[in-house]
Amino acid sequence: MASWAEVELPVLPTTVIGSYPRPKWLRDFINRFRAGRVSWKQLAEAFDDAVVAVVRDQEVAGVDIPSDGEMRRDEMVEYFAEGIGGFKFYGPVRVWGNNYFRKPAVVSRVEYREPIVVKEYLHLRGVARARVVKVTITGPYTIADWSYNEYYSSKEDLAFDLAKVVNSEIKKLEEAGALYVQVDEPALTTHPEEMEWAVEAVNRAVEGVNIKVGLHVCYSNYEVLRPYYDRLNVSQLALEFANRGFRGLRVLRGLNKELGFGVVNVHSRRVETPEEVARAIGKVMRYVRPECLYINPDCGLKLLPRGVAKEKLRVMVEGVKIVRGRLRRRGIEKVVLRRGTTCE
Amino acid sequence: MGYVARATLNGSYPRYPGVARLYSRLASGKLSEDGFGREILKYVRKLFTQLKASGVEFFTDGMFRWDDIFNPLIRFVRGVEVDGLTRFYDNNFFFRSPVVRGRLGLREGCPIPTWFRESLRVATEVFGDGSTLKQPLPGPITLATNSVDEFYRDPATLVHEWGSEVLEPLINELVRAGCRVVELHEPSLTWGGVKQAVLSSGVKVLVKIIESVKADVWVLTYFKPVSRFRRYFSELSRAVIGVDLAANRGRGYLRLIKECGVGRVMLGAVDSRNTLMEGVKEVVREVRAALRAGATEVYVGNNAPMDFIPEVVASRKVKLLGRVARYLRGG
Repeated sequence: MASWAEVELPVLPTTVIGSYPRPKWLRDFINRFRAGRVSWKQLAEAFDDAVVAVVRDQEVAGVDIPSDGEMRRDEMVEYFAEGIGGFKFYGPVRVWGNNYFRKPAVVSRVEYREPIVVKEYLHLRGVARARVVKVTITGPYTIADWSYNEYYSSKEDLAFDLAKVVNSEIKKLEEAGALYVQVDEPALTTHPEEMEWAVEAVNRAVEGVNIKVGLHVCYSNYEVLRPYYDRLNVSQLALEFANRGFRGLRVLRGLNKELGFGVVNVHSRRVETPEEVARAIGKVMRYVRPECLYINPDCGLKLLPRGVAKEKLRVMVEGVKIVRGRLRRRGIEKVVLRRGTTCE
Repeated sequence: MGYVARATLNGSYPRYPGVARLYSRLASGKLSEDGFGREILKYVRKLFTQLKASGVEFFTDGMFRWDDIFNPLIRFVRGVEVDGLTRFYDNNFFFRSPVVRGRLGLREGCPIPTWFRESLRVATEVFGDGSTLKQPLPGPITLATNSVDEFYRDPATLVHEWGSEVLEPLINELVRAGCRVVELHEPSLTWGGVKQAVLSSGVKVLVKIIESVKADVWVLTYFKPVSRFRRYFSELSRAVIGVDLAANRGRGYLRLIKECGVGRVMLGAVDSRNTLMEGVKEVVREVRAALRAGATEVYVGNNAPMDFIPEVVASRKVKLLGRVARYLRGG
C-alpha cells in the first residue's frame, strides 16, 4: 500500500464525485432479489462484480482516482440511515422530476453499530489499479437535514450525534488504510442561519482524522459557504459548476484549499466536448492555482445512462489532457496527495 | 357564517406510485402523451375521492402533471429557456429554473387551462356541488426571484412582466375554463434577501392581479415567518393569505389580522415537511386564536406543497384537516 510520502498524482488529478450508473444486469438482479428469487449472498456477489465493472469504466476513461460507483447504495442518506441505528422509513419522497428517495425519520437516539462502508473500501482497494481511491460518506448535517426529526429536540443535537457516528466510520476507514475520504454535504448551505453549527458538525466528523478529506457541496449558494473556507477542517471543497454554466466563479476568490472543480453536468445527457472542459478549467485557473485543482463531474453520475456517464468521464479526461499539455510547458506536471487543510 | 373553518389542500399532493409509473412509461415511450393525460385523470379522481372522504372542501388536483411549482408552466412561456437544476429554497427538492432570454409572453396553446377543465369535470363528478377546485401557480415575486434574468436585467421589470404578460393572461384563460380560485405561491415574499424595491413592485403586481382577474386569489407564503414583512400584507388584504404555522410559532402572524386588515387566512397547520403528526386540538387552538384576532374567513390546510413527505403520511395529514373542520363544526 502507498504511504503518504510517496503518493504523487498528475497535475489536475481527475476523479469522480462518487456514484456511477448501475449496470443494467445489476438493476435486474436487484429486482430479482426484491422479488425473493435470489439470495442476499448472491446479491452481495453481484454488487462486488458490479464494482469491478464500473471501476474498469473509470479506468478506461482515464480517471486517476476512481470510486466504487456506490453500487450498493440506492441513495446517499437512505443508505447510511439504514446502517445507523435510530431511523425509520415511511416511504419514498420526490427529489425532482420523477426521482425519489426513501427519506428516513429519526425516531430514537442515533448510534454507531458497526462499520458501514469499510468492506466496500477494501473491495474497491482490491480491484482498482489506481494507487488512490475515493470513499464517500454522507455528512452529518445532510443526514440530519434530509431526515424527519421525530426524536431530537433540535436538528443541531441530531447533527452532532451523527457527527460522532461519521467520525467513528472515517476512523475505521483510516485504520483499514484508506487515503482519501469525501464527506458529502449537499445540504450544507441550505439554511444559512445554521451554518455556524453545521460547519462545527462537519469539523467534529473529521476530528482526529489523519487522511485526506474532501467535502462535496452542490446545487447551493456558495456565497453562504465562502465565509467558512478557513474554518472547515478539510483538504478540499468539491463543488458543482457546470450545471450553473460556470457562473459565479468569483466566489472562489480567497479559497485557501484545493478545489474539486465540477466540469460536466450530471443532469444533462449532452456530452460536453474536451474543448469545453479545457475552457472551463482555464476560467477557474484565474481563481485557483493548478496545483490546488482536482477535476471531477458536478456530482454523482448515477442518473445518467451508463454509456453517457462513461463518455462524459472520457471527455473530462481528454479536456484535462489539453490543459496538462499547457501546464507541462510551464513545468507543472505533478502534485502530491495533500492531507493538510490549506492549499494556496 | 355557515362554517368556522374549512379544510383545504394547497399545491401539490405526493405522486401515487401509479403516477410515478406513468411518468416512467411516458419517458420510455411506452405511453403516449394522450394516454398519459387519460391515465392521470384516474389518479386525480382517486385523490378527489380521498379528499371527499376526508372532508376537504377546497383543493387542487394534486398537481400530478407538474414537476414543481414552475414546471411545466415555464415551458409555455416565450422568452424562457429551461435551465439546470436549482434547489427549491432550503429543501432537498429541485426544480429546473427559468432563464429569461427574451421578452416574456404566454405561448398560445398552453394546456394548463385545458387540464384545469378536465380536473374540474372529475371534481364535479366526485363532489357534486359545494366544493372548490383551485389552480396553483407561482406568484410573480417567486417567479422573478427564481429566474436567471439575462434579458430585462432589472428585477422590478422582470416581476412586472411575469405578472402582466404571463400570469394575468393565464388566469384569464383559467377563468374561462371554469376556475374560480387561484393560489399564487409566494414563498419569496417572506423568504428574505429580496430587495425592498423588488418586493414593493411585486406586491403592486399582485394587487393588480387580485383586482383585475375574475377569480378569488389566495396568496400563499411558506417556509418563513410573515410578521417581518407585514407592511406588504395591508395591500393584499382582499386575498386569502396563507401562513405557514410551522414557521410562525409564537403567533406573530396574528399581527397581519390585527394590524394589517387581513381577514381571510389560510392557516398552514399541518407541516408538509415533517412526518410528525399534529393533533386536532392543537390545530383547533390556532383557528380559534385567528378568529379571536378578528379573522373573518379561516381555512386550515398544509403549510407548503406536500411533495416533501411520503404519500402515506400526507394521507394521514389530509384526514386530520377534515377532522379539524368537523370538530369546529361540532361534529
